[in-house]
Amino acid sequence: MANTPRWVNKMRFRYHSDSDLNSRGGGIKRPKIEIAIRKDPESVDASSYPEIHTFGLVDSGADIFSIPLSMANTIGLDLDDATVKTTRSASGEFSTYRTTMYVEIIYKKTKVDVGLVEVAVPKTDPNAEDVKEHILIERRGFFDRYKVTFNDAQETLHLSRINRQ
Amino acid sequence: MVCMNKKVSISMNSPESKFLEEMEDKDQYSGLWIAISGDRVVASGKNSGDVYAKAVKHTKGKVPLLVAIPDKGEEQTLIL
Repeated sequence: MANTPRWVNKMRFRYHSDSDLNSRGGGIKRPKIEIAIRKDPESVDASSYPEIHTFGLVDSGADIFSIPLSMANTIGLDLDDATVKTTRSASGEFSTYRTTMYVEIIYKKTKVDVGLVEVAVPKTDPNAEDVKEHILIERRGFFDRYKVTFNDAQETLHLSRINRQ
Repeated sequence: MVCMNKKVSISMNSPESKFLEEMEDKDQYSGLWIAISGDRVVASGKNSGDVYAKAVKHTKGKVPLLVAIPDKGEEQTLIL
């Protein structure tokens, strides 16, 4: 990370809404940040291991990252039945593959390294409606690398990099 | 005195996220995944993988922004 500019040590994001703010329901803004995900840092072969840019919900209430199955297939994650574990969400229990993926934050047109993180990929969706379409950024692998501050009054999210020895 | 209504000005992250933020007709993609490249939606559909595959054919190697648009009139309250 020697080439990473110092200003990425403190980042600030506006809360984000995926829906029309003028639509019925008003479009709820959430602490989502733009991220780039791919299989691993070296998987630069865009045809075999594509990179996806998307928004991830910063969620302090869960343990590890989660992405939809179709997205995991797109970036070529290894999904092995031997890794399947039971995951519990608000809507019940469901099975998830466990693997790793490489994550970067996209901030002011710069990619900021988060690193290789553990990720849960729902194997079957019927009991996992709440995680099916969501990319969740969880504690393990993120909250131990960044101090995360939610400012709901100003609808902003602040990330401060934690210096690790 | 503290001004509680102070607006926070922050640069958007990418041209695609800026376009998404300002997009006024998101409802037409209600319940779908969309792929944005530059200032246009280049693909949409039910499956994120299919949408991505369609999108990259139009983006000449540039990585599109892939986003799920919530169902119209059914703003979800999340309890994750």
